[in-house]
Amino acid sequence: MGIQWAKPVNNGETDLTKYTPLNNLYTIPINTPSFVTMVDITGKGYLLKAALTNPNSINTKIKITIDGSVVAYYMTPNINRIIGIAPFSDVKFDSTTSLVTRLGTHIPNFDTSNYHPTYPSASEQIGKLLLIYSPILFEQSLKIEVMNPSASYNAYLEFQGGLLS
Amino acid sequence: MIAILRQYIEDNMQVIEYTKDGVTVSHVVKTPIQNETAGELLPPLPPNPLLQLQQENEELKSRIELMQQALDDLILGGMQ
Repeated sequence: MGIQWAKPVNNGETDLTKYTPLNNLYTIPINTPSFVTMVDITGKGYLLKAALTNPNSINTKIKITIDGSVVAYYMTPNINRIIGIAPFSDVKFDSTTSLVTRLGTHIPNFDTSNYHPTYPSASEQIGKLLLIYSPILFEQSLKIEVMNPSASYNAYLEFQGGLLS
Repeated sequence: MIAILRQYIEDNMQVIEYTKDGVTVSHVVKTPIQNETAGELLPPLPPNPLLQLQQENEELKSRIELMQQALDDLILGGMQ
């Protein structure tokens, strides 16, 4: 199964104009050594972004489950890096420096080798970010779980998604 | 059109139930209750290496000046 692109609007079921956006920035406190659920949606909807950052990542993890199947599972290496799923429009590749920027700011320790081109991918990948052009639709459920074993720094989950009527 | 039907807290999660017809639940969204006081345990900032070197340099200069003064006093005292 490849990327689940938004289907053409034919019966209104996937009409993105009939959506209820859900956006939030969640804090994952220090000493969260096992998975905790940050977003748990039952019903039809879409996911645009689930990106996890930590200033000093120590095996910070994110697991995304759609319709009961794990579709993305990422762990940071022991350096600062953004992992998860994000829209392509959030990043900009600088061909001169071979670095990736976001909102005018360099994303630490991140270059094109950190893009993850495979979706879905249930096996744990280290330090990857899946970049998407369009929202990922789910029919029944979405669950985002994270863990932050760091004893010094909170982690942060950027979530963008919504409900479809 | 989706509307919020009810909201409540269950198992330390905020639960929002949505409805399309005003009666039945169409979507359920559960998110953790974010604790505003969940502080960040930040380690102390590392010292600025340049400022630290400048400070150490000043300390060394002061010590050398004191030693030079003591040496001068010793030499001058011996000559008298």
